[in-house]
Amino acid sequence: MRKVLSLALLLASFCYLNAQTTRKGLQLVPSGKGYGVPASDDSQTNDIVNPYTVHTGNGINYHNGPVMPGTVNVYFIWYGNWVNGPKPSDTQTTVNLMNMLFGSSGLNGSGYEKINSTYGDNTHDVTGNLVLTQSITDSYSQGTRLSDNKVKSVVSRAISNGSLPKDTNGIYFVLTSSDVNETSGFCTRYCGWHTHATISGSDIKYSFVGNPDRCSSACEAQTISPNGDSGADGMASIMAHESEEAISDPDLNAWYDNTGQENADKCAWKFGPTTGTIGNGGYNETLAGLHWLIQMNWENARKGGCDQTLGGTFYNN
Amino acid sequence: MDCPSERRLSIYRLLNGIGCLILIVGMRPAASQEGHRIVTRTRLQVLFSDMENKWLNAIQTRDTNTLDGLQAETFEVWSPSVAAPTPREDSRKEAFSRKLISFRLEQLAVRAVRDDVAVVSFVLQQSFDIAGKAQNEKQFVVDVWEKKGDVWKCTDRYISDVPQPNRATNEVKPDGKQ
Repeated sequence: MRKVLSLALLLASFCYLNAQTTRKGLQLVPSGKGYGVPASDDSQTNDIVNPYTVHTGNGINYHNGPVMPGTVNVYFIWYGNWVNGPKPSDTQTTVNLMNMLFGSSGLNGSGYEKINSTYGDNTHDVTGNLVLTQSITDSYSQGTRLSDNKVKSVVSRAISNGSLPKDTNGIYFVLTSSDVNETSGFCTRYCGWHTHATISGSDIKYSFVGNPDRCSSACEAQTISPNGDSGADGMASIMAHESEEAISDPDLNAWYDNTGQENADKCAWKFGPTTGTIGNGGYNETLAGLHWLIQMNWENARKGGCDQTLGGTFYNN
Repeated sequence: MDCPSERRLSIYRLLNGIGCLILIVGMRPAASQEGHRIVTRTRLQVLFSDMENKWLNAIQTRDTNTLDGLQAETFEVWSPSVAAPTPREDSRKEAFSRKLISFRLEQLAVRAVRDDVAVVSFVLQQSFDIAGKAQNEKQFVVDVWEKKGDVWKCTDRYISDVPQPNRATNEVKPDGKQ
């Protein structure tokens, strides 16, 4: 009977462990002796620096899927006409601004992007490093009305014809000029989205972001913007949003809350304090030597909240 | 008849099996959702989603002050089942006459017609308590919102029932025999 009770206790322990939101007890950390040891209890007190520890209880939940480790490679597919399209932002100015934002001195390793380093899986933490690796253009290969499937075809075509490498640790952005509509709800339901799919036999993460000048009241926080290019400045925030989510929840099975919101969703259109006013070129980030108005991201630490930089003050709006 | 030790062994195996199963299930990643996508909602979608939710919460709590802040004085409800539009006060009386237990907004989309006019459409699922029984409704709603100064107010609401799927099964289908 005692053995039965012991086993029941063991079973209860399994259930208890299973129900715990902080899974650090199941993690191994390097012992320095060639084998891993369970993370010690005191590591739980530091939410930011302890590697490979899945911290929850901060308003967002972990669902056991992977995050994107290391330096994440970013690929741009400039779809449509980004030379002299119908809106003033359908130009190389926008291309150049996004190149700077996603270049090595932009979001890469910034205090802002490091907010994402509070997310991890059982083997990696997000680093907060991402860098634009390659850009290509696509002159309307799928027409001016894109369905979700056609967006996938744009990515698939770029990989299969060798224009872009097949990279499972990359994010492929399909960036459409203002004359292109994404027919599943661009401008009325969403400004962008991210997902993943099996392309050429690999799990490829990709995102759609349209030129928000197509619908400035829906997808831009301000039309007078820090870099004098409302389309580019609007895209900056949406692309930052998508990249954060694609990295922390690449297969849509890692990090989201009990309402299905991913980290950046929880801070969508919330900017925190700004220099200048929103609507008149206000900004809240300085990256690559330029000013940007970029939405905050949800920090998975200190009970959770939206902030502009890792360890910064949480703001509600 | 099993001896006590064999019974304990069986229980042991059973508990061990359940324990392992729970552990395996707990460690398994949630299914990867290929084909699904996560969107960045538009600024207007966030704004009007919040206001439509406030509206329905105000119906639940019979909060006329909040409704005053959301509905224009000239607010009217248009429905295919009623020839004339229902004025604001009458529409509130009608809404307050039933106990709204829960609601859900789906497929909310916002089209900005002008900077100061927006059309919001969504599917509204509501559950009412009618004499102790839950009654569900599903409607397609189109709201016209107008901005005056910094304040958005709804001027018109158009409602139509969403056909229930089981109705289709009652339809007479041609059998080719006439």
